[in-house]
Amino acid sequence: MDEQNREKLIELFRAVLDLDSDEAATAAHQDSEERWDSLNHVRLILAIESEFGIEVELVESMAQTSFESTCALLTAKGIPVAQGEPST
Amino acid sequence: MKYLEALRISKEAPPAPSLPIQVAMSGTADLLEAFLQAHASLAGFRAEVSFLPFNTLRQALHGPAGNNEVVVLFPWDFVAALDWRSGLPERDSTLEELFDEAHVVGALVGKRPKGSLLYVPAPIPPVLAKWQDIDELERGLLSHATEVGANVLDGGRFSLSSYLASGTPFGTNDLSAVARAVVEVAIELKGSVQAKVLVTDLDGTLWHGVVGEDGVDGLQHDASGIGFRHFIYQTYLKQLTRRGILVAAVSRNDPDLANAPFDRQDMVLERDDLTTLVASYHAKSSQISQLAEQLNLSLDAFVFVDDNPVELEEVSTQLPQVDCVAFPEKDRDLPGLLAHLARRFSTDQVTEEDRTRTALYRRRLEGLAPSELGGADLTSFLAGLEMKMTVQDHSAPGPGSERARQLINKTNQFNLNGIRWTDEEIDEVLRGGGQLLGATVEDRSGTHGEVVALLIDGGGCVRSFVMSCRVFQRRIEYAFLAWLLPQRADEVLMDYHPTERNAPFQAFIREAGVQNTSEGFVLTRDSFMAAHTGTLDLFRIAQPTS
Repeated sequence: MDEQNREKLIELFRAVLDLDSDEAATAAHQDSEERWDSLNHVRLILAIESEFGIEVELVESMAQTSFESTCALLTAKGIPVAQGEPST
Repeated sequence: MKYLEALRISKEAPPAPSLPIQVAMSGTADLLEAFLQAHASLAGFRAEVSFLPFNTLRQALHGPAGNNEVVVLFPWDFVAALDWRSGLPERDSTLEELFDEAHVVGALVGKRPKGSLLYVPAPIPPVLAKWQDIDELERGLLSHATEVGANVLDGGRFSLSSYLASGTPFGTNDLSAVARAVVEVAIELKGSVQAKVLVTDLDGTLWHGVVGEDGVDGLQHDASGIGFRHFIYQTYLKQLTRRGILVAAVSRNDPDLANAPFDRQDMVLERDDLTTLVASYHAKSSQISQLAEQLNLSLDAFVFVDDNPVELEEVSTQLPQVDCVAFPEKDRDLPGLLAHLARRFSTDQVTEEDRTRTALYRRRLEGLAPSELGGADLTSFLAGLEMKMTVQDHSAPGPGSERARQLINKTNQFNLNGIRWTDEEIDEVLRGGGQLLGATVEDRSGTHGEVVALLIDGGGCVRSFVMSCRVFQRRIEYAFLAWLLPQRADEVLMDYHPTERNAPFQAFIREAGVQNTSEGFVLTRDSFMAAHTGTLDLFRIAQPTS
């Protein structure tokens, strides 16, 4: 289940940010990914809410700045996400 | 339907006819896109979705309806003070004043195509002192929305938290249902949209025979024999031209040959009844799309009649928006054709303007008449917004420029070149004698914050110029430059680059008259001021603060 959630999250990041690999998705960070602009941020949160059936509060949404922080948010909301290989 | 499922449905959908959907809504509608695509796919269409920029619905209502436009209305679209995002107004209004405003907007909304309106009776903030008045306002707006022809969606679809967080007025779990409702409206509209141009084939359609083989003498179009149904068809086209419908002819033929039957002046339909006659050896789809471009009409306003199934298939494949109709082989099928055309070209009344439309468009095609003029209505609407622009100079070191720097690095659409700047890079430009300017804008409904940023280097070259998409179509960019340019040299160099996402800036470059010279892109002060100085009248300008 944890792994499925991770795969689903990767798919969301790739679809919303138009990323060409799983690695680009797991390494995505708002500061370094040009396509992660304000509109795509909202799209990303919508996609996460829709896909995992959760509500993300505004303050939580603003704290989502990377793939890893989103994994942590989902885990905190009771949706475990498998840990990936540490990015280098 | 979940987000990824929506993406999969539209990705895996087979080729399908196009369904234009322009969502006209004051909030952010972009998030509906994936679901609009999916529901259109499920209904057997390929959606071509477009949106209004955030918070520009009222401006758009002063212009013509978009292509297959679906207008989604909220209480604050009728009464601006009800917008949750503006907070509660400083001044108390009476119920009567608010209804007056609602009726003004309602009159505009009521002019949109029948069946194109959806109303979401979202909760409203308590803007009136008396509770019963608030209740009456809520019910009155619902009633008013239905009077102007809106279909009502469940008010529970509105999500305040989503609206406050992102400007999207619907909750995540409601986007799919809203998108489905919008797609259903769009499908209905597509079927009922009034066509404006009938494009007819010549040989075998306007007359019996082939002019290149039978000669002009061999063609039959009289009220007798085998030409009878072509005669009736011509009389119907003649009637359409009198009602203001444009009739054009296309033919894969030599122009002289195609025109020859008209030169004899023995047909019901005369050369002057046609807006144009396009005769060339290009594909008919290419002839029609060129015609649509010249007439500045969208392709779904076109109906194409031809007796040749191959030509019909070519056009319907290349231009799926065009309604392609076969001219019948048998007399008995003629009523069916005319009934179809009557439905597509149905009109309530015929005005004097309608009667002269063919001549007007013909002159336009000949380059003798200007295309549509800009909307005086929009100017008057913008003037009524009581906009105030405060220019800020962020050139001096110190705090206060964070928003301008953020705008430069976050804005994609109205962006000179898409280049991102680090703080160090901006500071270097400023140390070299450059300027970082910003502008805040407020209007009678509240403040929009700092929405413009411009970085100009010590050599007078504009290195970055951005504007937030939430204030599009207010002429802010023009007024800002009209304020700035008199303080600069005669010519200002702009480090402009088109990007995949800066289409609005590309349009601005054209309208502002920026010239592509050997030196680079140049904005000439005098010509810009001559054309756009009037935009300053739309604003009260406050001088720079730093």
